[in-house]
Amino acid sequence: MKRREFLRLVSLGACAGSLSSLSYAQALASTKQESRVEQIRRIKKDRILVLVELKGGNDGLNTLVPYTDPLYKKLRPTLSLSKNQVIDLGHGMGMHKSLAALKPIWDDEDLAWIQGVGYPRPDLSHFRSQDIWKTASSSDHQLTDGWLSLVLPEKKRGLHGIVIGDDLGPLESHHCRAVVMKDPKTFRQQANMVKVIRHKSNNASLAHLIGVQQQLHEAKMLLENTSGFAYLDRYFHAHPFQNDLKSVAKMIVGGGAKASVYKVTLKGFDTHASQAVTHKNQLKYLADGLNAFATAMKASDKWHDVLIMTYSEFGRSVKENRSGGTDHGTAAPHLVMGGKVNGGELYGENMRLNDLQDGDLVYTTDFRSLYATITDRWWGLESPWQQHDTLAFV
Amino acid sequence: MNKIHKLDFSDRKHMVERVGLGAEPKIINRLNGRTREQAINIMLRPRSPHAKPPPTMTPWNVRQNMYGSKKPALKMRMHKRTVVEGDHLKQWWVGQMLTTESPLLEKMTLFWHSHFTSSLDKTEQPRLNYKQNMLFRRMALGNFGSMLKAVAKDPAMSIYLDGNLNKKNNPNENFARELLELFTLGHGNYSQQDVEQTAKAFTGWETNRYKETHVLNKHENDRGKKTLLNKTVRTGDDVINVLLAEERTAMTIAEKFWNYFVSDSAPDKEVTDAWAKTFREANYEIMVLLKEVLKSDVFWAKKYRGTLTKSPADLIIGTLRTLPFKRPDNAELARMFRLLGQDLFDPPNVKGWMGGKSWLNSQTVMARTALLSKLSAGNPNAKVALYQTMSDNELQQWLLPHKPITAMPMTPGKARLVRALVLDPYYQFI
Repeated sequence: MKRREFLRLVSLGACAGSLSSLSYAQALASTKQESRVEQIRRIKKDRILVLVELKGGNDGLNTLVPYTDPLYKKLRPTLSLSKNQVIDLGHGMGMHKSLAALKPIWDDEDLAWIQGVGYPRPDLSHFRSQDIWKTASSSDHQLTDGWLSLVLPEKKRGLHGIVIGDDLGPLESHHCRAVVMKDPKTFRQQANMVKVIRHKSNNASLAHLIGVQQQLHEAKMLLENTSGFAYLDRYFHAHPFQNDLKSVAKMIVGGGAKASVYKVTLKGFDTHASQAVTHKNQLKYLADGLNAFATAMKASDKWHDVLIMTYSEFGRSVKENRSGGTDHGTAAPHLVMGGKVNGGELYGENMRLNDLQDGDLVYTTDFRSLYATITDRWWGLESPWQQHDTLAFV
Repeated sequence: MNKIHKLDFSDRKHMVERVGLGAEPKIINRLNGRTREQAINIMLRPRSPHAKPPPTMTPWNVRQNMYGSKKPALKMRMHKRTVVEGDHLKQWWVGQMLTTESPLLEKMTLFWHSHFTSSLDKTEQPRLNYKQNMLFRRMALGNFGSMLKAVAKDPAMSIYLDGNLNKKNNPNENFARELLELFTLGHGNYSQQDVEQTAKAFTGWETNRYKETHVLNKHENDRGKKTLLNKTVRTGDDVINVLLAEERTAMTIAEKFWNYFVSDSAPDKEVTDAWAKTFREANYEIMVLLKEVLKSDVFWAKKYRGTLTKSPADLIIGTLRTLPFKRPDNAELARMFRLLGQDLFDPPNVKGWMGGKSWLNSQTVMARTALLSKLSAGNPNAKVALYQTMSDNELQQWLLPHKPITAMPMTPGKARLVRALVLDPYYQFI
């Protein structure tokens, strides 16, 4: 929690002691008025998470860049970015210049980076690693349900999540009520044609279909009131990623769906060859999209209700290959942003370029710490990942 | 059912739909009075791999020159042309599926396209993807080992998995990893070191863009000894031979056949391991494996009927080959494939299409419903010659694997009934 947020909160209730030394939990505990605690819990439950998947494995080293480290230049003779190609964030780190649109949000302390996000015994397969991130499993353990299904059913009834894209990913589970769509307008039109059927079947495929139809019906009912909000159009440009974010913005502002999670995807990060140009463009799409989304949220008074987080199946190899690209790697930094983010800071330890394992970076923050933080500190729920500490970014 | 008994109507429909594209009345009739074995022989009878001539596509070299052009306008024009040619190629395949005399061949070509994926999105060379499709067509029911070796040299694959960029002093692991993970052994059956060694063996496997064929660049080829799965290898072909000797390779294909021909459910390992053994002992002859699957009790078992989700090809092409609905043009059909999640020549990722339950999500269920609703629209009281020869009960057995779960219309009229059957949830399964 930010200092200004904190002050606002404690001023609501009777609070004794030194303000600056109090933690958020202590502030809650010292708030004698139980109803206030209840109210805060309720507000927390309405909070929204927007996940941005960077598909293909984003090159973390050239996103949040250790540009002052001589080893970085040595390991990446052609791909390394120099001082004038990054935006300095202090601590010897800089953001890729293509992320310029995120700088004002960083300056407002609404954006933070978490460094070295990964997991032990990393898997270099796209699919296996995507599954690990999706299910919060360890690398030698196979799970099928998405991580959000361990959290959301506790949090609320109704619709849990909406994915703009191809698959449910972290929302995939019988316990989650979630839908996949291209955009809400087409969704409403098409969902009208789908009938709801009540039928019990041992045939898993048929049961799956009937379940999908049921969820479509529920989602359609909830989304009925989210048309309009054309004023949001002006914040976004004509790019597929921005279109998806615009759809999310409209659903959040419309409020009918009341989904806790929205997910969008930016594809094209599997940069095995000619990375310099591709990656530069990708990061620009990302930053411009997120900037537009942030502006739309602020204009709609929703900025304090959303937390945006990027993730990707892995980072990329430290050494560049001879194709001017990088191969599958391990850990990478990720960003979080939102009105309640304790931003302008780098969390987690930076990865060491002089301490590689089989040539790859060693993670410093387990990705389940991010999930634990969202569950515990953002939604005020009990985290199923107790062995992983939460982070103070929110 | 006894194996020497004649197949009944629902068995014939089952076989025709699982082995082909749609429950085509013509083929169902062809199997009339036949036993299982006879039916299998009829369905697997080799037919000409005849394909219609392809659309015009720019040669690789010409395209590459324009991509490399310093004039932005020229570059942009080439990119646009690539998209158009790619669309034409998709439409070409859709047309092929719709009119072919050998639906099994199309179904198997699609199977290998999903197994050994390459996408236009990455290659940006429609002509090379077309050539790869022709390779699958030629070898779809031939020998898996030969196909694997041909795929390793296929130009579209070399671009798709960066084989062209795999250099002696700087191996690119993309192809090597997918070769082990997706094409043969499966995840968890090799180490990172195996990937690295495999990548080395394939260094210098390049393609000549003028001839659009494989060449070995001796300067970039690492001829040293490598160790793969504790065996010593030198060349890419050595690698493939080692992989073919592994029982996991045959299992990977056998398990995929289970999910392609039997059920969405997890493979019954006892059954698929036996198929894999036969497959490997038959030197990977695909026809032997397919016959083994079609002969098996699980293929015919009632408990697996209606447990296989129709792929977009099964649904779109199958419906149009089965029912006398008005056919949209090929461009519209190719668009439908994309909306239903099977954008031909552009699979979502290197793993191809997952198939099974993953065909059905909120997005695709809506698109499927809209499509079937549109196709089956029309005068419900129309007299359709094809329907008039069948009783209501036969219509139902023809179109659904089990009794419908939605209420059928009370008003008589066969066209009305057909529409209701097509919109029943069971129509999504075979």
